[in-house]
Amino acid sequence: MSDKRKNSDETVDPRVSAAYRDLADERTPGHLDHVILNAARGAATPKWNRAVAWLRPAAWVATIGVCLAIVIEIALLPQQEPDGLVPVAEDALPATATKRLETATPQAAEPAAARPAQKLSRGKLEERQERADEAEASNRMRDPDAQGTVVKDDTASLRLQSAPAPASARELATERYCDESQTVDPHTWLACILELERQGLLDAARLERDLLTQAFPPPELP
Amino acid sequence: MLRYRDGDVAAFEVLYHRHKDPLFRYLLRLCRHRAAAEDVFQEVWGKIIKSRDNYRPTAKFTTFLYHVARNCFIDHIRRNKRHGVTADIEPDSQPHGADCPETLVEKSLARRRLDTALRSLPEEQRDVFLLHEEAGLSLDDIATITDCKRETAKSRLRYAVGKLRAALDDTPETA
Repeated sequence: MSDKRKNSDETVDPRVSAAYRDLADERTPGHLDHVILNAARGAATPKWNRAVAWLRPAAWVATIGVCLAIVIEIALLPQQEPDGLVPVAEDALPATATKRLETATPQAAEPAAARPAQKLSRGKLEERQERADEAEASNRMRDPDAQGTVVKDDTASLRLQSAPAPASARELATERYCDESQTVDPHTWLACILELERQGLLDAARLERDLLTQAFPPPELP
Repeated sequence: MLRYRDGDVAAFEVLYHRHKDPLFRYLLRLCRHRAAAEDVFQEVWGKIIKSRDNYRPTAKFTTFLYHVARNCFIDHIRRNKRHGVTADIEPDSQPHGADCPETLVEKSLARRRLDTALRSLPEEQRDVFLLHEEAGLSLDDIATITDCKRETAKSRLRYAVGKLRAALDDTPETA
């Protein structure tokens, strides 16, 4: 009885297993292998590859943002003071200098691209200052009565002479209105002066005319 | 599977080549329709691939694989009622080496008898028998997959083996 029970509990029959093994010899179709393995390879690509899907547009946005920031920065550059110049309080300037600043405001508001030559280096600014000083000295020699007095519509250098202004104000007074390229040739320089006069910037025109006289003595003038 | 989860495709290929044929035969015997078995087979591996990120080695991979396969088969039955309508498995379609004609005929008859007996088994018994034979799973694993008690699985397997043994014991003349 126990043997019979044991046999009935037997769940493994080698003969049945062997017969089944002989029967079941089907193989997976090759096209299924190909499809499934390809799917597995495609799914197993590293996660950073999938992350590229959103990283790429993010990188584009970041690049465009940086480019815009650079363009805006470049556009704002001319509004900054040149090296060595600090903003001067309006009450620290003489009244005529203030007036000159007011008259020069429309031109100062022009974009930097319109006046690229005005970005002068410190050395050139000093050179221009020396020229202005020489012109000032010659004016003083021509008109000794004006020494020590303030002429309201005289050149900026004379105004600076009468009232010692801070260095920044003096540098501001020697600011040029004609481009460096225009001052190379007396004809273009004179055209620039005439243009200044036409615009009503008489002080600036007078300053440029003095400098023109110094740089090109009368025989060279047209 | 853990290595495949970490991006090792070669590990998946090893896993696939180890399990593909038994799984295909299991599905072929369950579906009794080659095209349906191929569909379910592809679906099973698709689910395995998709679930790699969430895979936890709480059980043997074989148990996990056949559990997925059985669920896919059940879903397939629910989706269409093709199950059991046709049977296009040809047990004699494969060549059998260099056996002599008498042996070939005898094997062919035995295969046909076993195949007929296997098809005539109740679905639960056939399922348990196939899981035991093809996947080599233990009764505990079979019970887990088929969602029944171990003793139930053991009983089903015993009945299935008994019926198949009886079919094999039949003489060729009676078959």
